[in-house]
Amino acid sequence: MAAGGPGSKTYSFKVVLLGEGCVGKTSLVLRYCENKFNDKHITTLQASFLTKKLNITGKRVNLAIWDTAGQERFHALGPIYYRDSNGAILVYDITDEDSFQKVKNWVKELRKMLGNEISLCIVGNKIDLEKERHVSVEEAEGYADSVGAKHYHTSAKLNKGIEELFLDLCKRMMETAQAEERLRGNGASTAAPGRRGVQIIDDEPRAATAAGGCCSSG
Amino acid sequence: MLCFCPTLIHCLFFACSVEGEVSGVYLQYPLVGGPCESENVSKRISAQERVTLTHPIWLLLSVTEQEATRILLQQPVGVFLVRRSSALQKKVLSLRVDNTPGSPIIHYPLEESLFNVVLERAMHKCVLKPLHGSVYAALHKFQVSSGVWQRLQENLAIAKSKQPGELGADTVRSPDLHAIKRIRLKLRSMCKMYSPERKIKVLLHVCKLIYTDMQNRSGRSFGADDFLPMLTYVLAQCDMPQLDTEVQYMMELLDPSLLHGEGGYYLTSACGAMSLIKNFQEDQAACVLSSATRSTLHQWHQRRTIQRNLPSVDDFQNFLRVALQEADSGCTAKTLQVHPNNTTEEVSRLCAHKFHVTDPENYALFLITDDCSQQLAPDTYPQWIKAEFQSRPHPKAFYFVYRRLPNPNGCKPSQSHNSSCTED
Repeated sequence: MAAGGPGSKTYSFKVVLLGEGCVGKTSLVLRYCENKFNDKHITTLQASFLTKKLNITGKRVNLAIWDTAGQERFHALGPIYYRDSNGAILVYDITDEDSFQKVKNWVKELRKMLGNEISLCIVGNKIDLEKERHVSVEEAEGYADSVGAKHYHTSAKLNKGIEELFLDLCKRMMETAQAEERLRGNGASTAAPGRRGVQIIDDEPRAATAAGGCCSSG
Repeated sequence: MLCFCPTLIHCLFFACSVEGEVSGVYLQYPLVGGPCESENVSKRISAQERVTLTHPIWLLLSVTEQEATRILLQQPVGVFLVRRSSALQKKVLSLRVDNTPGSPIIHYPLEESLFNVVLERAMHKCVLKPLHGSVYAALHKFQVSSGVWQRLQENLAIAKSKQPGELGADTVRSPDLHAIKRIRLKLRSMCKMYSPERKIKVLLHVCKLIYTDMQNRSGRSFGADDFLPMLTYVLAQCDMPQLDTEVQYMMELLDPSLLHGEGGYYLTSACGAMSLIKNFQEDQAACVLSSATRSTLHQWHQRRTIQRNLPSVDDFQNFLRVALQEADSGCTAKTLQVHPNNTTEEVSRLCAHKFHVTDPENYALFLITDDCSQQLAPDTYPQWIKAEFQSRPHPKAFYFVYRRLPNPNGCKPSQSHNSSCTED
């Protein structure tokens, strides 16, 4: 997760963007990354995958933002996109009650699959259309509270609330990462990051005894 | 590949410069003095050892740029040192080069995380290149025997006959036949490569072609809502079932650190697109499929995630661990090859054979968890049950046990587990 030499820690976070089609996910992230693309990337001008570099309280953060297709028929593909995410931004349209319902479904699924390690942001977009609001502020914020998520209001059109949303999310993800580091035993790389490959272990005795113990109790 | 360099200080790091940053450092022969001064020296000590042992000489982290320049100016061409730049927060390799045309010293900021990439590439060349063909044949054989290949071909034919709109893509912006042909050619060349990184580059290029085509027709930027359906349409039009194997190959072999980047994103999209094509007809059975997809994914995720525990043998697909429980001799477990479409009846037969049971009619397969033991109905699918268990967020311990029926006539097989596979 975190790479870099001693004293110059760089955090790399993956953030997945979820929400029904037409809620403005793409405009939101385009707004955020506007004119600040990392020009090394091939698909620079596209909004499906974007990166952003930040500096938060002296720590460098690399964000990779993964957009997902919001149409119902692509719902089943969710897990391949959100796996290994540090944060999720769940966007709904404040004028569309249904899109808020979809967010609730995503929250349920994410909590079930990824537990509490992932930082969730629920985002009511299109606040420039306040007059047509169909999802009440109290309801949305209350819901976010109840599931351990943070709620934000944004307008991609007016470029409102977006900077704050991402900054806040980054801070939360950093806290989670730092807590994890502390848990792992501060500094000493006990987890051996980057270790990979397949270790074949002969598990004959272990499985046999486990099954045996279980059989005898049953 | 790493080459030997004979002299201790005159190691020349040949730096590959990409957009001003060093993306890889290779050891090469020095420019002067011939390949090896002494064969013996290079045999006794490896290039890596050589560099490691000499690091007090060249690793001068506290040296500033001015000092480095002063030191190197007095040295012959090819001598380098490594220092830390506080401005860049990176190590910098300063190298004495020829005076002409520019400065006699070049400073390369080092992309430290890329050292692994060089090693990875070398490993791919040594290991993957000769094995590439066999790995492919094995993956293909596996797909054929599990029935996936057949299903893929059928569904691909159907998906190919669909208009962009029917796949959720924008008809106006979809690439024409000429563009599809171009993409197909690129993908064909991708299939011939052994290196997952190079394959990814081709895939990114294909994605870029699709984007460019979409953009030329509308002039705006696209997110996944537009891109994924279009990619699905294009891949269906390309009519290359082998892409499914390609995606698997890359998903399994790409460096995990790259899975988070742009390559990882578009590989994920390609994987999603192929999965949509593969299951095109079975939309109605989405629940079952997504449960199967989820379990495959879960297993893949466990195998491929950095900083997690290494997978155990049980995690691999198509293996099922079954214990034989005998009243007198306790438990013996065996790992059996069981396909997802094998029924409990078939697995029981296999168990009878593997465990040398002479009276199989008195034995049955049971699923045992902490709190219950259930006989599995003959028409259930053990791999699906296992998949269901493993795809749960907090998997409980469970075991498949082949054992003697307590009372051959009094026990009713339970149907409940196949239905639980289709839940949610």
